[in-house]
Amino acid sequence: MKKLTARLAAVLLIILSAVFLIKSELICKQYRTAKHLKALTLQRNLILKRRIKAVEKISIPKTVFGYHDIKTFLLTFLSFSDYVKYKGFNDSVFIYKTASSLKQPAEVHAPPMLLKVKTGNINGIPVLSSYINNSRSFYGLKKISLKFDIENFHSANEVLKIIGDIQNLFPSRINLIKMTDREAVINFNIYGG
Amino acid sequence: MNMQFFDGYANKFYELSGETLNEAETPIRGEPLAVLLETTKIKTFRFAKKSVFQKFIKQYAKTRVVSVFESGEYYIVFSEEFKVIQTIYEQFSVGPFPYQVFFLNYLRKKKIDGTSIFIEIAERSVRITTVTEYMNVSSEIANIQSVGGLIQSKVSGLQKQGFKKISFFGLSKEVQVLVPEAETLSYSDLFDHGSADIDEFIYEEPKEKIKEEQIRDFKFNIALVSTAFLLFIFSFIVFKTLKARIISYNRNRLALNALNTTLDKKLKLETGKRFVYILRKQPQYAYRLKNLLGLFPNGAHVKQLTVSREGISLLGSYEGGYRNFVLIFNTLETRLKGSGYNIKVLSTDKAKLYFYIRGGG
Repeated sequence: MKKLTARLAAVLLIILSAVFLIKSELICKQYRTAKHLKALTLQRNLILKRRIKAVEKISIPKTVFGYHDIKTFLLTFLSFSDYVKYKGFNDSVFIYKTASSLKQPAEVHAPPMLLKVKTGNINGIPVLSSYINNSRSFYGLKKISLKFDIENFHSANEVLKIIGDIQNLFPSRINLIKMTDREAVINFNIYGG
Repeated sequence: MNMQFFDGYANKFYELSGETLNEAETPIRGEPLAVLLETTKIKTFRFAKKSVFQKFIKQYAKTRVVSVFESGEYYIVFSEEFKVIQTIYEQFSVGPFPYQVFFLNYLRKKKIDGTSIFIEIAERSVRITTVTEYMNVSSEIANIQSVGGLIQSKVSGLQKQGFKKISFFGLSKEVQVLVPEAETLSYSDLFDHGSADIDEFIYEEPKEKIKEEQIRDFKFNIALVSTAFLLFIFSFIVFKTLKARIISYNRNRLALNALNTTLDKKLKLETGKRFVYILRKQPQYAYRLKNLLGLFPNGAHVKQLTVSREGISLLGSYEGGYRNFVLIFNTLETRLKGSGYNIKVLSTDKAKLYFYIRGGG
């Protein structure tokens, strides 16, 4: 009897442990997703903190002895696009990439491409997109434009204020501001003018 | 089976025991049998219960069992060294030491002449062993149902050969039903030779062995249960920790999300503040543009405003006909010139008015 009870107990324990192991195996996916989400939120938190720190670096880009501070320009420009977004406009950033950046003689005479660019950030500092984060990838990039819808935005005052702000921020770089009752497009020269 | 076999067996036995048989001492018929029985010193045990017998068989079947006779009673015959001589159990199997030896032994002891037939009845079969006057031994196994006919035919055959004195021996009482004139023997009568004893076998399980087994079982059980318990604890801990981790991660995430929303708001506020700070001393172009748009008289609307380095160009529309257009244009020109702008009409359509403004502040 003792033998039997002991073996029964052992079998029961093994079955229970198997059940727990199977349960934990089922939970494992949840665990991974929870971990991943937590890491993501933590990362986002860090990025936000860094971006708040980087806000102090926003300033009117200057040209000193013909040297154009692209970094500050981009930071200010992209922050401004965010600022426009915060104000309630639906805006997006475009770049004009000329064919000369492709370095293929067959395509030299091709017209410049207009690309919609996603804004991202590296260590909290906003950048255009992952493939334009160093000065090298600016090769052949001449114009950058900000475009925002004003179709559902009735106060013309705000739009004019934004245009005025842009004129103040990038006085030497603005190429063209075009405003209709539907949208406003502002073109910039990256290398000053 | 005849005497040659026994002679040969006896010779072999002597060879094994290290002794040699002189030619003068060669045993006469029936003599080696006696020698064999006396030298092997057989010991016989009787079992009172079948269960004890079976236990014994289980324990010793492979190592020490010896000779077993079964017909209601159970016997085991050991040699002196406890070596296996023969095992007979139900099937009357014949081993290296033929157990018909005991029949011969009995006949020799009792000095019975003539031909004798031994009948043994087991559960399913019957064994008939005939020993002729010349000690020729032959045995047959038959079904219980066909025993009567077999015995009759055997007797008639023997009588034809010339054997007239035939005596029957049954090794159980049931034989008398088949052959009424048969003498009933017991196996103990067969073993009644000089060196053999019949003892009651008292079966005792060796205590030490049982103890060892118990200890081994106990150890095994403890190991089994403890490993199972450890496994259980391990799996339980894994499960619990996983669950706790998931809960903690989710809680953490929620807290971080809350923090992120506040940080988002802070970022918005900070960027707004920063831009206000930067632009606080800058000239307000917005007012200029607003003023410019405000100069448009009733009936004219600005459709498109373009600001370039050269100046500002406007595209507007007007209501009414040409007269109305002239009116609007005149008022707009005077107003713009008053504010310091130069105006230039690029083209006119039926409902559109393109003009170019330059200068002004």
